[in-house]
Order: sequence, then structure tokens, then C-alpha cells
Amino acid sequence: MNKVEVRLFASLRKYHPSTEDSDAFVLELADGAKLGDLVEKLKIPRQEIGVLMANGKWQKEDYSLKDGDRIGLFPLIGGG
Amino acid sequence: MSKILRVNMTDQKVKSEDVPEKYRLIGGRGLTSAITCDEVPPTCHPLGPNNKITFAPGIVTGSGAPTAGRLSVGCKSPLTGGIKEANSGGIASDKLARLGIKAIIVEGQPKDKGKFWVLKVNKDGAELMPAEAGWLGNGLYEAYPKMLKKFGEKVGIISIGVAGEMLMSMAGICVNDPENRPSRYAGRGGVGAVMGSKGLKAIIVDETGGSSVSLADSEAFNTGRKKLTDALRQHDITKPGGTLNTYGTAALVNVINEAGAFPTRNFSSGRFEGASKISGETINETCKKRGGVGATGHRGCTGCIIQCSNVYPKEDGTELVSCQEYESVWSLGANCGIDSLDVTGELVRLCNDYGLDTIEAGATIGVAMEAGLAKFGDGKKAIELMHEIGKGTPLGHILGGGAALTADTFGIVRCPTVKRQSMPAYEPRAIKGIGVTYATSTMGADHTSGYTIAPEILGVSGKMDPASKGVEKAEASRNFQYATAFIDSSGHCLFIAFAILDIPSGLEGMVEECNGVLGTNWTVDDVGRIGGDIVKMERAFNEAAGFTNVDDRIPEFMKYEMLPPHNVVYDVPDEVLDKVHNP
Ligand code: SF4
Repeated sequence: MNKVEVRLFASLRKYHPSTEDSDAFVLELADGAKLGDLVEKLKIPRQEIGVLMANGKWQKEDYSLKDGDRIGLFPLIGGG
Repeated sequence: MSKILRVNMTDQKVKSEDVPEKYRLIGGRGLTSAITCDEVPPTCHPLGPNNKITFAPGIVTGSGAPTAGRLSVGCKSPLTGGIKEANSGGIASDKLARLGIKAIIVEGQPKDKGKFWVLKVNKDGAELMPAEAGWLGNGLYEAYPKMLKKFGEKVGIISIGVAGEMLMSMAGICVNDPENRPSRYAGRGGVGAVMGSKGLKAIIVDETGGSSVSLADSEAFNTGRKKLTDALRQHDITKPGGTLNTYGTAALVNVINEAGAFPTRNFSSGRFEGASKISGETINETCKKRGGVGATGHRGCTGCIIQCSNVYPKEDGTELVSCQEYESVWSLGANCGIDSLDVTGELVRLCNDYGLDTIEAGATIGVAMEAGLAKFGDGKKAIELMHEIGKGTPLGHILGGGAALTADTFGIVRCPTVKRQSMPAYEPRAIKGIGVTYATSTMGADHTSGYTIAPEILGVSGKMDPASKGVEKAEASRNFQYATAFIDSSGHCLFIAFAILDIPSGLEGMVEECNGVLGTNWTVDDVGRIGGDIVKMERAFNEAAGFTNVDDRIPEFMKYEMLPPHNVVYDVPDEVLDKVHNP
């Protein structure tokens, strides 16, 4: 099992598994699980995601999760 | 017919001039920079009689184009010593355009130091009148209502605060928002000090009797406007209920922090443990929770359909401030180790009140904290330092001179500036391309002048590895710098870029709107050429003012101090930086 720390941001917060806390939560995934599996587990429609990050770097869905990874999922974000 | 107003502060005479042929097809930044290049000696003292300050609406401002109410302010900068264009929203630019005013050039200098005038502009022309005592020496939250009482609730006000009156290099120029708050700023580069050095407190714009900008080709204009409007309504970042509309620009806090590029405690870390507390998400939640006047999706600027602004409430639902921007909650928050929106809100309010650039102010307080004038995280002390600036104490004058002056004064090596202008809210060690822009922009460290963050972090307009440091970064920065110079000239808010970079018809729409106003036949291929000409002209001014490629560099400490969490230094080779303007 891999335990990863997940953060959902902006409009993706509504997919947070518990409603009271908007910050990080821990998710356990089977060995060999990919970032895409995590997205699926949280039932986030792929088209709503703009940026996937693992440990502060962009990754794609085929990224293999490692124990202790810090994952951040964002919609398309802009500002200045 | 459009005209140029020339205001001579030496003898307080105002002249109306025809627009020369060579300025007919430009506006906004393209026009302010052209006038600065044509009329200001590059080696002049920025606060002396030979500098000039120019105000110009964009090409399509006042035409009914969406999100196009921007005002360009240009001069030689007292902060950088180079050319400057600072850009503001609010309501004044649209009014200027509707009066047929293509630019206001303010020149000369009154003989009586410390005396201030106000320029009144309406459909019959313009005149200078002495500023009343109550408008001077007070915060803008006090001065604006007084000016509105005198001139009517519907005027646009372009004004400096006390920092501009005191000629401080971090003084900005304020424009009222649709509810007449003193809250929208042409902030950067000390443009407020230049206006102050002319003895000009404010420009009052009364558009009564004005009319929409005339169109050379209304069909082209309408097609263009529709295409751009559709793109803005469609893109996830700019659409109604989209990211900017829901969370404001501070939506960036979490993503830049996750990327390890959120400058923290005077650029000593790329991640701030309190980031989520000052994020756009928290702004949105607090507005809902506290209720009252709290609102996101607020329209800060005339005719904007993105509406990225907010009104942040106090605990009791009354107004604390508008607006908590990304740059401001970063500079006055994370960069000072402060994780409270109530404190950043108070600090933003003070910047609005005293007439300060929030970016330079926060970067300066960060340097001051490093110098031991306050502890990182001490909001109370940060507020006190801000009052020193407002009061114009000797310490206040040092701080008011910006981050570089403050670092010089206190012997601080970790000084996050390029060409003496403070960096904004993206760490160049973690995002190399934005560092290329900071280093090579004609404006000093400035994210808006070449926003490579879009491909490097946000996945807008393609994707680029933020860590790469090859010539591709020089190319990306150059392309962004050129395209931006065009958008800044059009009068559109730069935030339309998110939509038009991803949606080709939106970009076409912007160009067709310009064709509709000017009668030109530009295509999207002309955007880079026209923008490039503007940047080259600005660069020639800087060269004549004494800048060389050695000035196009990132501060040395970033080359040897490792930035957590990625533990990276700035390692883009100088040759890559030099390639931006010498492809
Ligand atoms: S997007 Fe924001 S800053 Fe830009 S014009 Fe609209 S309200 Fe003003």
C-alpha cells in the first residue's frame, strides 16, 4: 500500500472525500497505482483537471505513485 | 476627432493638439512608450523638468470592446532609471477615450515646490486648477470623496496619494473603481513620484457629452468583438463562474506554492506553510461566510466581462478592502511571513490609501524584516512600517524608495530586484522562464511583461518544463514580451491572454477589433511584429539611458543560494538571457 497526501484546489474542492476539511487528506492506494487511479478513486472528471502535480512537479496520469508523495490537483488556473 | 492634450506645468498651460500621423495607429503602451522615446531625453533625471508623463487609453478602449478599459501611464522611471509603462484598470480610461483623448502629456515643472494642481478634463477641453487643501496630505480614502463632492460622483479620478506627493519611488497612480473606491493602480516603477514631481495631484475626467470611439469599419469591429467575447465566455479561466471570476487572481496562490515557487520570507523559500490561508479559495469562502459586502466576481474595471476583483469583508461584514489580489496577498503576506487575510487586507488598504505599489511595498517590508526592523510574520509591525511611509518619516522615505534602496541602506544582500524594481510573486529559481522575463524586460522585474508562467505552470498555451534553461526559454519570453506589448497597446486587460492564447478565434477577434477602430488590415501575424517594435523602441531608450546586457541579470544571491523545496539555484546561462533581444 502507498499512502499519499492529496490536496484539491479551487473548483476541485468539491471532490474532497470529507466535507469539513478543505486542506490535505491522506489516501491509501494499492502498490503500483498510478496518478490516474487516484483521480478515478476521487471520481473527478478528467476534463475538470487542468494541472496534476506530484511533489511540486507536473506529472501525467501514468505517473506511478510512491509512498509519501504530495499530490496537488487543480482546475485550469490563471491570474497575475 | 481624437486629440492629444499637452499640459505644461511650468506655466500651467494646456494645449490641445492634433494626433500626428505617426501616432494614429497606436494606443496604450505603444503610444506612451513612443512619446517617452520621442520627447524624453533618456539621461534626464526622472523627477526633473525634462521627464514627461503620458496617460493613454488603448486602441479599443471606449469602443464597447469587452474588458478593454485599461489605462497606460508612461515616463522615465525613478525606480529603474529606464522607460516605464504601468497599466491600470478602473473607470477613467474609458471616459478619456469617449472624450476623444488619445493621450495626455504632462511636461515641465512648476517653480513652486510643494504646490499641486488638478487637471479637469471634459468635452470642452481641459484646465488646471489649484488642488484644495483637503485633497493633499491625506489618505485617498479621505481625498477621493472630497474630490467627488467637488466634481460629481460620475467622474474618473487619476490621482497620486501622499507617497506621490513626497516623490517616493514606490508611489503608484490610483484610478477609482466603478463604486469610486481608490483601488485600481498603475502601480509599478514610481510613476506616482513622476506625477508628483510635476505638481499634478489628479486628473479628473468628466465624460458628460462624450461618445463611443468612432469606428473605421464597424463590421470588422463587431465580428472581432463577438469572437473575443465568445472566447472569454468559453475559457475555463475567464468565463463567468470560471477561475478568475470565482477566486480572483489569488487562485494562483496554491498552484504556485505547490510548484515550490511562491517566494516566502524575502525569497528564502519557495513554499509557505500558510499559503492556503491567504489563497483565492479562502478569500472566496470568507466572503461567503462573513457575508455583508463581501464579494468575489467583482467588476474592477469598466466593461469587464471577466470580473476578477473582490471586496473583502471584515468579520462583521463591513468592507475591509478591495481588492485582495494575488500579487498583494503574496507580497504583503507570504513574502513577509504573514498568513492572515485580515492583515494583508489592512496592508493593501494602506497601500491604496497612501498611494503605493503593493508589490514594491511588500517586497520592501520583506527586506526590512530581513534587516531586523520587524520579525517575519509580525503583521502589527508591518502595519507600523507602512505608516512610517505614509507619514514620510526619514525611515519612511527609505522604505518608500523601494526594496533596493532599503537593502542598500541596511546592507542586505538578499535583495530580490532587477533594475532596482522588486520581483513579483514567482520565484525565478523554480520557474526559469519567468526569470528570463524579469531579467530582460524593459521594465525591470515584471511578470506581466512576459508571462511565461502560462506554459510553465498553468498549462495554458502549451506546456513547458519550468526547470528547463535552454534557448527555448529565451524564445518563450521574447514571444510573450512581444504579444504583451500588443495587448497593452490594445487597451485590453492582460487577462484576456488566457483565453486568446488557447482559443485562436479569440486572438483573431482582438486583432479584428483593432482593425475595426483603426481601419487597418492587421492579421494575427502582425501582433508579434507590432509588439516587437514597441519592445525594441523601449529597449533603445534604456540603452541610451545607460543600460547594457549586464543589467539584464538575476540578482547574484539566486545563483548560489539554494531555494527549498526543490533546492535549486538560478542557472539560466547569461548567453540565453542575451538571446532574448538578440535572436
Ligand atoms: S479581469 Fe480584473 S483586472 Fe482585468 S479588466 Fe477585468 S476586473 Fe479589471
